[in-house]
Amino acid sequence: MQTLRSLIENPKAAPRTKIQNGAGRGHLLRYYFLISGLLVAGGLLTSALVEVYYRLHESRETLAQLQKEAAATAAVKIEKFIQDVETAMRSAAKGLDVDRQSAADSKFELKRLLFLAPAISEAVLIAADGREQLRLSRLAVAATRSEKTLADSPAFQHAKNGQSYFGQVYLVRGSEPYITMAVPIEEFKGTIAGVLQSEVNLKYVWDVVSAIKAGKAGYAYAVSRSGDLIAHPEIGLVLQGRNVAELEQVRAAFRPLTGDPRRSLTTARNLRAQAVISSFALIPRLDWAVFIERPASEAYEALYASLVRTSALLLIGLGMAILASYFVARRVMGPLRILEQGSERIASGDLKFRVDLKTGDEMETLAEKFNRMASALQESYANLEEKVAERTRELANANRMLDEASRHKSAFLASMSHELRTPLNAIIGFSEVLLDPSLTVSDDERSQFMTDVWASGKHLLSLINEVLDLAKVESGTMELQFEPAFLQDVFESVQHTMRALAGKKSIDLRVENDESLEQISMDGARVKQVLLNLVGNAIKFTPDGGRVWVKAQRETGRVRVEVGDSGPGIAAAEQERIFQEFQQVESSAKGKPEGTGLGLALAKKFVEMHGGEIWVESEVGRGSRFFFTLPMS
Amino acid sequence: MSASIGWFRDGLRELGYIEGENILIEERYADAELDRLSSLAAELLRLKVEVVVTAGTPGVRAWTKVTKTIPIVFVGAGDPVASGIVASLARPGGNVTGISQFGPELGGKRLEILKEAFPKVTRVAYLWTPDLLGSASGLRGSEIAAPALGVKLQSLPVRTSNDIDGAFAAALKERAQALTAQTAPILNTYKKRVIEFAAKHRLPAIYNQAEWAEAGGLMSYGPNPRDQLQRVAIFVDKILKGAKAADLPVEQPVKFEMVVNLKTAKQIGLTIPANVLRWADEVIK
Repeated sequence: MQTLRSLIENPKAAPRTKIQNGAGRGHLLRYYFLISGLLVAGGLLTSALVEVYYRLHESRETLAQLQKEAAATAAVKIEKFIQDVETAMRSAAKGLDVDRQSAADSKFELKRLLFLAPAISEAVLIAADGREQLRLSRLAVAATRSEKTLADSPAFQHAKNGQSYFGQVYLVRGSEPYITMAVPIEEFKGTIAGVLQSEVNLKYVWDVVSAIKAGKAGYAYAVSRSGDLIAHPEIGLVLQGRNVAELEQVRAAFRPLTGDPRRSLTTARNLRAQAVISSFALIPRLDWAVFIERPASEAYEALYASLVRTSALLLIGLGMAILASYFVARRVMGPLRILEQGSERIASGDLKFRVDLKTGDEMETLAEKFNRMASALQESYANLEEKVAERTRELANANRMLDEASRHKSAFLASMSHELRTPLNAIIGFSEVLLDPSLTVSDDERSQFMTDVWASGKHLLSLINEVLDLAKVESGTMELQFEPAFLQDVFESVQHTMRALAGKKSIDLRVENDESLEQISMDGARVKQVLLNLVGNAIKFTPDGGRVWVKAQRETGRVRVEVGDSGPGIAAAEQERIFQEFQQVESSAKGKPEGTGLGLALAKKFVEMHGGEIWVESEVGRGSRFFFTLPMS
Repeated sequence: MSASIGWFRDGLRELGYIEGENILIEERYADAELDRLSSLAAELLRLKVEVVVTAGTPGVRAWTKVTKTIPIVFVGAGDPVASGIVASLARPGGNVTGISQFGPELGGKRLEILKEAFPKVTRVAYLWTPDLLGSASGLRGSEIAAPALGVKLQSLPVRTSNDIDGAFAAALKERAQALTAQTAPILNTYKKRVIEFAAKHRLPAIYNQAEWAEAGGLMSYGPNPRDQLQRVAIFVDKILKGAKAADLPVEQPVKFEMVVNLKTAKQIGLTIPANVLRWADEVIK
């Protein structure tokens, strides 16, 4: 107990037990708390990380997709703008007849073109040979039939082949972005009669681009292949002829397509060196690229917000998990400690101690069972004590009985030796007298002496027989001879034997026979012996002139024999004692009575060996009735 | 210029500026007295203005005399590079930027429109103010365009209010058949007189500001003022948000309007041909 206690209180001193199926002593709380905490935390963390990873991935994909679409849409808008100008030009071209038209009509067509397409600030009608026929401008005076030839210009050459031309960006007065556009003038399909060229002010494209929004701070811009800005929300950049070919995303846009087209979502730096998410779409006809850029922080805002949310939830979840594990562990640990202490106290001997645990769960049940165990322990302990006390008493009893028996035996021996010696002394004495030649004995005396010797011898014999019988019975070697016999025969024999004795004291001996009694299986000799003893006693103890009777009565399954007398009766206190060996009724009137005191004891034994009972009913002054039963079957 | 400031205010409002809450506008008018410009500038400077908006080159000049740091946004400067108020259109360089007006070239265009409407006109009186920097190049621009159009220009310089009558007399003496005038503060002040003169003598006239046509002038061709002043508001917004004037390129107008006052035409008894009228952006009836 001491060792245990010290081990518990001083875990470091204890040899460490391996943590296989339990904790080291006293670490259960920490262990379970850690385990459950780690498990839950691990679970939460894993799920959060997986969630975050996939969400990041998805978000990037979604963002890429959205921006790509936005860029495509922007490209469409810008292309449409240019196409509208082209359409206006083609429409004007239809109305132009280079050779046959009057100047006024041509002028009208061009004026109409300028009206339809505000972006065009100048329109030029060129003849098939490249000479300028008519030039109309919003700003400058119209010119007609200048000898200027534009035959070498790329615009003319391209349009001469029947295709629309879109030129490179150039700056007017160093600050106005323009492109040259040209469309063929066809007499009819396939025959080029001239070229219509116009200078298109790209500030109008700026209007389109400025209107394009992406998210909160996203924007669109257009760039030519050479990297010159065509349109940008900050028009200043365009007017300054800013070239943005240095930007990675611009270079990447014009690179021939390689690899994964999905990689169009790139994080790049913009002109202000901010981190942006950049997507582009190409306008192949113009050889332009349109970019949609959003500040990376804004694009990822929603994602970061959700990340922050997830992290916060994770932390809260972790916190709660840790708290929960702790409280759960404690809830188990507390009762366990109480039970531990309870066990200790009971082990130390305080069996009355009971554990008080009201947790409303299995722990409470366990505590109840623990208490019941303690109670059972207490009870059995008490029982044990009782049993011990009982056994001790029984032992004491037995000892006493043994002592008594031993005392009886001593008394018996004492009495026996006396009883035996007395007739032997008489025999020896009388024999000595008869054998002494010096003594003169008369014939009468001789006859008397011989009779005494014979009587003594007979007495001694019966004594010894009885003792031997008793010894046999007690050692269990007495064997009864069971034979069917009639009880009345035994009665008759007894009556015959006792008549004389009864006559001597003028006692009326009545023996009633019952003729109807059938044979009973019995040892006749012993039953006779019993009757002889009972009747002998009755005659002995009844005063002269009294009565003694013997009756037999049938009862269910047995016969009851009664031997009664009108003697002095036997006190209640003596009634049990007389059946014991060497016990005789105290009879102050007669002094020491005759007999060995063995007769009734033997009778009892014999009756009981037959399977019957023997008892006495008597009152002092009212005579005695001895009963014994014999089973019929 | 009172209408102009209204458009400017509109422009600011569209950008989210509410007068009294997040912006304050201090207005000062010199009414064609150029001398007053400097003192007005000084006055506003004392009020600790953060951005200056001024119309015309003289205004810019007056301001650059008193400050080299406060950003100045101009509108209606004909040739800012020639007049020296900016280093170049793309990179103004100093604290001045704004919206120019295509002075020189437009002059020629105006003559063209005039000639188209009145083909018989060959002598055009040209009112201008020599003291205004850049105005000479404006005259030159028109002079270059004139011969090709079959028109002869009569240069009528006006320096002070006294010169106006003299100019009118000279025009009549040379039997001018039409009239045109530059934008200039002094001429603005005498807008009514010029218009009346033209009307009285039944002279077709073309001006460069819609205001003049609205005031009774016969025609005008020039940049859309509302558009311009809204662009000015955008400049102001950019500067207030931290952009440097030196980095903001001077913008040139893209939209030009032709305004025809048919009421005046009727009054004077002039007819605008259909092929010219057709292209008018605004017709005052």
